[in-house]
Amino acid sequence: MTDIEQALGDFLREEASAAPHYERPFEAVMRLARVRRFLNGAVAVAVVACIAAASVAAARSLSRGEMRPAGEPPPPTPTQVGTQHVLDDAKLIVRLPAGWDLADENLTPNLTEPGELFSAGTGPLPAGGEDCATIPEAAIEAMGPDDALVSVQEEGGDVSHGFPHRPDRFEWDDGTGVFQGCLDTAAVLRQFRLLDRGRGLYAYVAIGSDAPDERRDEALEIVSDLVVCDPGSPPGECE
Amino acid sequence: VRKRASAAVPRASRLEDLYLAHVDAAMRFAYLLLGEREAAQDLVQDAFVRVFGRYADLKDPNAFGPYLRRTLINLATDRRRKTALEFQRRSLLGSTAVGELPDIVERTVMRSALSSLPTRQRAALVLRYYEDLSETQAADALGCSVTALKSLVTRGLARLRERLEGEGR
Repeated sequence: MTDIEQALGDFLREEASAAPHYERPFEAVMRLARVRRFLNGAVAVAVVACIAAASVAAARSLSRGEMRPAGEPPPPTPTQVGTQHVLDDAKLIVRLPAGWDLADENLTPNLTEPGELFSAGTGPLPAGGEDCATIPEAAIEAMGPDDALVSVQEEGGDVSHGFPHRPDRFEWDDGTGVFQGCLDTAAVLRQFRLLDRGRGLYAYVAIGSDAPDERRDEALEIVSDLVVCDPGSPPGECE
Repeated sequence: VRKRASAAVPRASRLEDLYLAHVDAAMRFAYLLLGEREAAQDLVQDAFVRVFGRYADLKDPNAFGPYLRRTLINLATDRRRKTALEFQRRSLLGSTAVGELPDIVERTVMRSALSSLPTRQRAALVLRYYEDLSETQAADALGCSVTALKSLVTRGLARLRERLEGEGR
Protein backbone atom coordinates (compact mmCIF):
# COMPACT_ATOMS: atom_id res chain seq x y z
CA MET A 1 0.00 0.00 0.00
CA THR A 2 1.42 3.39 -0.96
CA ASP A 3 1.69 6.36 1.36
CA ILE A 4 -1.27 8.10 -0.24
CA GLU A 5 -3.43 4.98 0.07
CA GLN A 6 -2.45 4.64 3.71
CA ALA A 7 -3.15 8.30 4.43
CA LEU A 8 -6.47 8.12 2.63
CA GLY A 9 -7.56 4.98 4.49
CA ASP A 10 -6.65 6.56 7.84
CA PHE A 11 -8.44 9.76 6.94
CA LEU A 12 -11.62 7.99 5.82
CA ARG A 13 -11.78 5.88 8.98
CA GLU A 14 -11.36 9.00 11.13
CA GLU A 15 -13.98 10.88 9.15
CA ALA A 16 -16.42 7.98 9.37
CA SER A 17 -16.00 7.76 13.12
CA ALA A 18 -16.89 11.44 13.29
CA ALA A 19 -19.89 11.09 10.98
CA PRO A 20 -23.13 12.35 12.52
CA HIS A 21 -25.88 9.91 13.43
CA TYR A 22 -28.91 9.74 11.24
CA GLU A 23 -31.57 11.61 13.16
CA ARG A 24 -34.75 11.03 11.22
CA PRO A 25 -37.01 8.25 12.54
CA PHE A 26 -37.95 5.18 10.56
CA GLU A 27 -41.63 6.19 10.57
CA ALA A 28 -40.85 9.43 8.73
CA VAL A 29 -38.96 7.54 6.04
CA MET A 30 -41.77 5.02 5.69
CA ARG A 31 -44.31 7.82 5.36
CA LEU A 32 -42.35 9.30 2.48
CA ALA A 33 -41.96 5.86 0.89
CA ARG A 34 -45.73 5.36 1.04
CA VAL A 35 -46.35 8.79 -0.49
CA ARG A 36 -43.91 7.97 -3.25
CA ARG A 37 -45.58 4.61 -3.90
CA PHE A 38 -49.00 6.27 -3.90
CA LEU A 39 -47.84 8.92 -6.38
CA ASN A 40 -46.34 6.27 -8.64
CA GLY A 41 -49.64 4.40 -8.50
CA ALA A 42 -51.54 7.60 -9.22
CA VAL A 43 -49.41 8.26 -12.27
CA ALA A 44 -50.07 4.72 -13.51
CA VAL A 45 -53.82 5.19 -13.00
CA ALA A 46 -53.68 8.52 -14.87
CA VAL A 47 -51.84 6.89 -17.78
CA VAL A 48 -54.39 4.08 -17.98
CA ALA A 49 -57.21 6.65 -17.85
CA CYS A 50 -55.62 8.67 -20.67
CA ILE A 51 -55.22 5.55 -22.81
CA ALA A 52 -58.82 4.59 -22.16
CA ALA A 53 -60.03 8.10 -23.02
CA ALA A 54 -57.95 8.10 -26.21
CA SER A 55 -59.37 4.71 -27.18
CA VAL A 56 -62.92 5.94 -26.69
CA ALA A 57 -62.19 9.07 -28.73
CA ALA A 58 -60.64 6.98 -31.52
CA ALA A 59 -63.63 4.65 -31.56
CA ARG A 60 -66.01 7.60 -31.83
CA SER A 61 -63.90 9.14 -34.56
CA LEU A 62 -63.89 5.85 -36.45
CA SER A 63 -67.65 5.57 -36.19
CA ARG A 64 -67.95 9.07 -37.72
CA GLY A 65 -65.66 8.07 -40.60
CA GLU A 66 -62.87 10.46 -39.58
CA MET A 67 -60.07 7.90 -39.47
CA ARG A 68 -57.17 8.07 -41.92
CA PRO A 69 -56.92 5.58 -44.77
CA ALA A 70 -54.89 2.48 -43.90
CA GLY A 71 -51.15 2.94 -44.34
CA GLU A 72 -51.17 6.71 -44.04
CA PRO A 73 -48.90 7.88 -41.19
CA PRO A 74 -50.51 9.90 -38.43
CA PRO A 75 -49.86 13.63 -38.44
CA PRO A 76 -47.27 14.51 -35.81
CA THR A 77 -48.48 16.15 -32.67
CA PRO A 78 -46.55 19.24 -31.54
CA THR A 79 -44.62 17.27 -28.91
CA GLN A 80 -43.63 14.55 -31.38
CA VAL A 81 -42.15 16.82 -34.04
CA GLY A 82 -38.45 16.28 -34.54
CA THR A 83 -36.00 18.38 -36.48
CA GLN A 84 -33.93 17.80 -39.60
CA HIS A 85 -30.50 19.31 -40.01
CA VAL A 86 -28.61 19.52 -43.29
CA LEU A 87 -24.93 19.66 -42.38
CA ASP A 88 -23.22 21.01 -45.48
CA ASP A 89 -19.70 20.83 -44.10
CA ALA A 90 -20.10 17.30 -42.82
CA LYS A 91 -22.18 16.32 -45.85
CA LEU A 92 -24.80 14.64 -43.74
CA ILE A 93 -28.47 15.01 -43.07
CA VAL A 94 -29.39 14.36 -39.47
CA ARG A 95 -32.91 13.77 -38.18
CA LEU A 96 -33.42 14.31 -34.48
CA PRO A 97 -36.48 13.25 -32.49
CA ALA A 98 -38.22 15.78 -30.28
CA GLY A 99 -36.23 16.52 -27.15
CA TRP A 100 -32.85 16.16 -28.85
CA ASP A 101 -30.49 19.05 -29.55
CA LEU A 102 -27.63 19.31 -31.97
CA ALA A 103 -24.37 20.40 -30.33
CA ASP A 104 -23.33 23.78 -31.64
CA GLU A 105 -19.64 23.01 -31.32
CA ASN A 106 -17.18 20.17 -31.71
CA LEU A 107 -17.37 18.12 -28.50
CA THR A 108 -14.01 16.40 -29.13
CA PRO A 109 -11.74 19.39 -29.80
CA ASN A 110 -8.58 17.38 -29.10
CA LEU A 111 -9.40 14.77 -31.72
CA THR A 112 -8.07 15.26 -35.23
CA GLU A 113 -8.26 11.80 -36.79
CA PRO A 114 -10.97 10.64 -37.04
CA GLY A 115 -12.81 13.94 -36.99
CA GLU A 116 -16.14 14.67 -35.34
CA LEU A 117 -18.98 15.41 -37.75
CA PHE A 118 -21.71 16.17 -35.25
CA SER A 119 -23.04 15.32 -31.81
CA ALA A 120 -26.53 15.46 -30.43
CA GLY A 121 -28.08 14.69 -27.09
CA THR A 122 -30.98 15.13 -24.74
CA GLY A 123 -28.90 16.69 -21.98
CA PRO A 124 -26.23 19.37 -21.64
CA LEU A 125 -23.54 19.23 -24.33
CA PRO A 126 -20.29 20.71 -22.99
CA ALA A 127 -17.19 20.23 -25.13
CA GLY A 128 -13.88 18.64 -24.23
CA GLY A 129 -12.79 16.65 -21.23
CA GLU A 130 -9.57 15.90 -19.43
CA ASP A 131 -9.01 12.21 -19.92
CA CYS A 132 -10.57 10.93 -23.15
CA ALA A 133 -9.61 12.53 -26.45
CA THR A 134 -11.54 10.20 -28.72
CA ILE A 135 -15.03 10.52 -27.24
CA PRO A 136 -17.06 13.50 -26.01
CA GLU A 137 -16.06 12.97 -22.40
CA ALA A 138 -17.45 16.13 -20.82
CA ALA A 139 -20.81 15.73 -22.52
CA ILE A 140 -21.12 12.07 -21.54
CA GLU A 141 -20.18 12.86 -17.95
CA ALA A 142 -22.72 15.71 -17.89
CA MET A 143 -25.55 13.40 -18.99
CA GLY A 144 -28.35 12.81 -16.53
CA PRO A 145 -29.39 9.23 -15.83
CA ASP A 146 -32.29 9.53 -18.30
CA ASP A 147 -30.28 11.18 -21.07
CA ALA A 148 -28.73 9.84 -24.25
CA LEU A 149 -26.11 11.13 -26.63
CA VAL A 150 -24.98 10.36 -30.18
CA SER A 151 -21.65 11.47 -31.60
CA VAL A 152 -20.55 10.68 -35.14
CA GLN A 153 -16.97 10.80 -36.40
CA GLU A 154 -15.43 10.15 -39.81
CA GLU A 155 -12.25 8.22 -40.49
CA GLY A 156 -10.08 9.65 -43.24
CA GLY A 157 -8.10 7.79 -45.91
CA ASP A 158 -8.98 4.41 -47.36
CA VAL A 159 -11.81 2.97 -45.32
CA SER A 160 -12.83 0.16 -47.64
CA HIS A 161 -11.59 -2.30 -45.04
CA GLY A 162 -12.64 -2.29 -41.42
CA PHE A 163 -16.03 -0.66 -41.90
CA PRO A 164 -19.04 -2.89 -42.53
CA HIS A 165 -21.78 -1.71 -44.85
CA ARG A 166 -24.58 -0.23 -42.82
CA PRO A 167 -27.65 -2.34 -42.10
CA ASP A 168 -31.16 -1.08 -42.77
CA ARG A 169 -31.64 -0.38 -39.11
CA PHE A 170 -29.17 -0.49 -36.27
CA GLU A 171 -29.90 -2.65 -33.26
CA TRP A 172 -28.19 -2.18 -29.90
CA ASP A 173 -26.33 -5.45 -30.32
CA ASP A 174 -24.80 -4.25 -33.57
CA GLY A 175 -22.59 -1.98 -31.51
CA THR A 176 -19.40 -2.91 -29.74
CA GLY A 177 -18.38 -2.01 -26.23
CA VAL A 178 -16.03 0.90 -25.75
CA PHE A 179 -13.31 1.22 -23.14
CA GLN A 180 -14.83 3.53 -20.53
CA GLY A 181 -11.94 3.64 -18.11
CA CYS A 182 -11.32 7.30 -18.88
CA LEU A 183 -14.95 8.17 -18.20
CA ASP A 184 -16.51 9.07 -14.88
CA THR A 185 -20.06 8.00 -15.61
CA ALA A 186 -22.62 5.26 -15.14
CA ALA A 187 -23.81 5.71 -18.73
CA VAL A 188 -23.20 2.86 -21.17
CA LEU A 189 -21.33 3.62 -24.37
CA ARG A 190 -21.30 1.68 -27.64
CA GLN A 191 -19.62 2.20 -30.97
CA PHE A 192 -21.26 1.49 -34.32
CA ARG A 193 -19.24 1.44 -37.53
CA LEU A 194 -20.75 2.02 -40.90
CA LEU A 195 -19.60 2.35 -44.49
CA ASP A 196 -21.78 4.41 -46.80
CA ARG A 197 -20.87 6.07 -50.12
CA GLY A 198 -17.26 5.18 -49.49
CA ARG A 199 -17.21 7.03 -46.19
CA GLY A 200 -16.29 5.28 -42.96
CA LEU A 201 -18.14 6.58 -39.91
CA TYR A 202 -18.05 5.79 -36.23
CA ALA A 203 -21.25 6.48 -34.32
CA TYR A 204 -20.89 6.56 -30.55
CA VAL A 205 -24.12 6.10 -28.61
CA ALA A 206 -24.20 6.78 -24.86
CA ILE A 207 -27.25 5.83 -22.82
CA GLY A 208 -27.85 7.04 -19.26
CA SER A 209 -28.03 4.47 -16.49
CA ASP A 210 -31.78 4.92 -15.96
CA ALA A 211 -32.79 5.91 -19.47
CA PRO A 212 -35.98 4.25 -20.72
CA ASP A 213 -35.88 1.92 -23.72
CA GLU A 214 -37.54 4.61 -25.81
CA ARG A 215 -34.53 6.85 -25.32
CA ARG A 216 -32.19 4.15 -26.56
CA ASP A 217 -34.47 3.53 -29.54
CA GLU A 218 -34.38 7.24 -30.39
CA ALA A 219 -30.58 7.21 -30.34
CA LEU A 220 -30.44 4.18 -32.63
CA GLU A 221 -33.02 5.81 -34.87
CA ILE A 222 -30.77 8.84 -35.30
CA VAL A 223 -27.93 6.59 -36.47
CA SER A 224 -30.24 4.48 -38.65
CA ASP A 225 -31.84 7.56 -40.26
CA LEU A 226 -28.54 9.30 -40.90
CA VAL A 227 -28.28 10.32 -44.57
CA VAL A 228 -24.67 10.12 -45.70
CA CYS A 229 -24.03 12.26 -48.75
CA ASP A 230 -21.46 11.68 -51.43
CA PRO A 231 -18.27 13.46 -50.40
CA GLY A 232 -18.30 15.38 -53.68
CA SER A 233 -21.94 16.38 -53.60
CA PRO A 234 -22.61 20.12 -53.77
CA PRO A 235 -24.39 21.72 -50.82
CA GLY A 236 -28.10 21.09 -50.79
CA GLU A 237 -27.91 18.18 -53.24
CA CYS A 238 -27.48 15.29 -50.92
CA GLU A 239 -30.54 13.10 -51.22
CA VAL B 1 -55.83 -12.30 -3.99
CA ARG B 2 -55.57 -10.30 -0.82
CA LYS B 3 -53.27 -12.90 0.67
CA ARG B 4 -50.91 -12.78 -2.30
CA ALA B 5 -50.87 -9.01 -2.30
CA SER B 6 -49.95 -8.81 1.35
CA ALA B 7 -47.19 -11.37 0.86
CA ALA B 8 -45.67 -9.30 -1.95
CA VAL B 9 -45.51 -6.15 0.15
CA PRO B 10 -42.94 -6.45 2.91
CA ARG B 11 -44.16 -5.90 6.41
CA ALA B 12 -43.12 -2.66 8.05
CA SER B 13 -41.35 -4.55 10.81
CA ARG B 14 -39.16 -6.30 8.23
CA LEU B 15 -38.33 -2.96 6.65
CA GLU B 16 -37.63 -1.47 10.05
CA ASP B 17 -35.19 -4.29 10.75
CA LEU B 18 -33.42 -3.56 7.49
CA TYR B 19 -33.47 0.13 8.24
CA LEU B 20 -31.95 -0.33 11.69
CA ALA B 21 -29.36 -2.74 10.33
CA HIS B 22 -28.18 -0.43 7.56
CA VAL B 23 -28.86 3.15 8.58
CA ASP B 24 -25.61 3.83 10.45
CA ALA B 25 -23.41 2.42 7.71
CA ALA B 26 -25.45 4.29 5.13
CA MET B 27 -24.99 7.53 7.03
CA ARG B 28 -21.22 7.06 7.29
CA PHE B 29 -21.02 6.23 3.60
CA ALA B 30 -23.17 9.23 2.62
CA TYR B 31 -21.10 11.51 4.82
CA LEU B 32 -17.89 10.28 3.20
CA LEU B 33 -19.41 10.83 -0.23
CA LEU B 34 -20.69 14.35 0.39
CA GLY B 35 -18.73 15.62 3.37
CA GLU B 36 -21.71 17.55 4.71
CA ARG B 37 -23.95 16.60 7.59
CA GLU B 38 -27.31 17.89 6.34
CA ALA B 39 -26.69 16.77 2.78
CA ALA B 40 -25.78 13.30 4.02
CA GLN B 41 -29.01 13.11 6.06
CA ASP B 42 -31.05 14.04 3.00
CA LEU B 43 -29.19 11.54 0.88
CA VAL B 44 -29.82 8.69 3.31
CA GLN B 45 -33.50 9.56 3.56
CA ASP B 46 -33.89 9.72 -0.23
CA ALA B 47 -32.05 6.43 -0.65
CA PHE B 48 -34.22 4.56 1.87
CA VAL B 49 -37.40 6.04 0.40
CA ARG B 50 -36.35 4.93 -3.05
CA VAL B 51 -35.17 1.47 -2.02
CA PHE B 52 -38.25 0.80 0.13
CA GLY B 53 -40.41 1.82 -2.83
CA ARG B 54 -38.75 -0.85 -4.94
CA TYR B 55 -38.21 -3.43 -2.24
CA ALA B 56 -40.87 -5.73 -3.67
CA ASP B 57 -38.79 -5.96 -6.88
CA LEU B 58 -35.70 -7.04 -5.00
CA LYS B 59 -35.39 -10.76 -5.65
CA ASP B 60 -32.64 -11.39 -3.13
CA PRO B 61 -33.18 -9.74 0.28
CA ASN B 62 -29.44 -10.12 0.91
CA ALA B 63 -28.89 -7.70 -1.92
CA PHE B 64 -30.48 -4.90 0.12
CA GLY B 65 -27.13 -3.54 1.36
CA PRO B 66 -25.40 -3.40 -2.02
CA TYR B 67 -28.56 -2.00 -3.60
CA LEU B 68 -28.80 0.71 -0.96
CA ARG B 69 -25.12 1.59 -1.46
CA ARG B 70 -25.55 1.80 -5.20
CA THR B 71 -28.60 4.02 -4.76
CA LEU B 72 -26.60 6.30 -2.46
CA ILE B 73 -23.88 6.63 -5.11
CA ASN B 74 -26.37 7.39 -7.88
CA LEU B 75 -28.22 9.94 -5.78
CA ALA B 76 -24.96 11.56 -4.69
CA THR B 77 -23.88 11.82 -8.31
CA ASP B 78 -27.17 13.43 -9.29
CA ARG B 79 -27.10 15.71 -6.30
CA ARG B 80 -23.64 17.04 -6.99
CA ARG B 81 -24.45 17.46 -10.65
CA LYS B 82 -27.68 19.32 -10.00
CA THR B 83 -26.57 21.59 -7.25
CA ALA B 84 -22.95 21.97 -8.38
CA LEU B 85 -22.00 21.28 -4.84
CA GLU B 86 -18.85 23.21 -4.05
CA PHE B 87 -16.68 22.42 -1.13
CA GLN B 88 -16.36 25.43 1.11
CA ARG B 89 -13.14 25.38 2.89
CA ARG B 90 -13.69 25.41 6.60
CA SER B 91 -11.94 27.68 8.98
CA LEU B 92 -8.73 26.12 10.16
CA LEU B 93 -8.54 27.86 13.49
CA GLY B 94 -11.91 28.35 15.13
CA SER B 95 -11.78 26.95 18.63
CA THR B 96 -9.00 24.50 17.85
CA ALA B 97 -6.15 24.40 20.28
CA VAL B 98 -2.79 25.32 18.77
CA GLY B 99 -1.32 21.93 19.59
CA GLU B 100 -3.90 20.18 17.40
CA LEU B 101 -3.29 22.41 14.41
CA PRO B 102 -0.98 20.26 12.26
CA ASP B 103 -3.38 17.29 12.29
CA ILE B 104 -6.40 19.49 11.65
CA VAL B 105 -4.63 21.19 8.75
CA GLU B 106 -3.72 17.80 7.31
CA ARG B 107 -7.29 16.57 7.55
CA THR B 108 -8.71 19.77 6.12
CA VAL B 109 -6.39 19.59 3.15
CA MET B 110 -7.30 15.93 2.59
CA ARG B 111 -11.00 16.77 2.92
CA SER B 112 -10.63 19.59 0.43
CA ALA B 113 -8.75 17.36 -1.99
CA LEU B 114 -11.39 14.63 -1.73
CA SER B 115 -14.18 17.13 -2.26
CA SER B 116 -12.60 18.26 -5.49
CA LEU B 117 -12.94 14.77 -7.01
CA PRO B 118 -15.88 13.80 -9.22
CA THR B 119 -18.43 11.80 -7.21
CA ARG B 120 -17.70 8.45 -8.81
CA GLN B 121 -13.96 8.77 -8.26
CA ARG B 122 -14.63 9.67 -4.67
CA ALA B 123 -17.07 6.79 -4.29
CA ALA B 124 -14.51 4.39 -5.78
CA LEU B 125 -11.93 5.49 -3.20
CA VAL B 126 -14.39 5.21 -0.32
CA LEU B 127 -15.46 1.74 -1.43
CA ARG B 128 -11.87 0.53 -1.74
CA TYR B 129 -10.15 2.27 1.18
CA TYR B 130 -12.93 2.64 3.70
CA GLU B 131 -15.38 -0.15 2.96
CA ASP B 132 -12.46 -2.44 2.02
CA LEU B 133 -14.42 -3.95 -0.84
CA SER B 134 -12.60 -6.03 -3.42
CA GLU B 135 -12.20 -4.56 -6.89
CA THR B 136 -15.01 -6.78 -8.15
CA GLN B 137 -17.37 -5.77 -5.33
CA ALA B 138 -16.55 -2.08 -5.71
CA ALA B 139 -17.06 -2.26 -9.48
CA ASP B 140 -20.41 -3.93 -8.87
CA ALA B 141 -21.44 -1.21 -6.41
CA LEU B 142 -20.57 1.44 -8.98
CA GLY B 143 -22.16 -0.44 -11.85
CA CYS B 144 -18.99 -0.48 -13.93
CA SER B 145 -16.33 -2.94 -15.05
CA VAL B 146 -13.31 -3.80 -12.93
CA THR B 147 -11.14 -2.04 -15.51
CA ALA B 148 -13.19 1.12 -15.16
CA LEU B 149 -13.05 0.83 -11.38
CA LYS B 150 -9.26 0.53 -11.47
CA SER B 151 -9.12 3.60 -13.66
CA LEU B 152 -11.36 5.58 -11.30
CA VAL B 153 -9.18 4.62 -8.34
CA THR B 154 -5.92 5.37 -10.15
CA ARG B 155 -7.17 8.72 -11.37
CA GLY B 156 -8.64 9.55 -7.98
CA LEU B 157 -5.39 8.78 -6.18
CA ALA B 158 -3.39 10.72 -8.77
CA ARG B 159 -5.60 13.76 -8.34
CA LEU B 160 -5.43 13.49 -4.58
CA ARG B 161 -1.66 13.31 -4.69
CA GLU B 162 -1.59 16.27 -7.05
CA ARG B 163 -3.81 18.32 -4.78
CA LEU B 164 -1.92 17.36 -1.63
CA GLU B 165 1.44 18.15 -3.21
CA GLY B 166 0.00 21.42 -4.45
CA GLU B 167 -0.84 22.26 -0.85
CA GLY B 168 2.74 21.53 0.14
CA ARG B 169 2.02 18.25 1.92
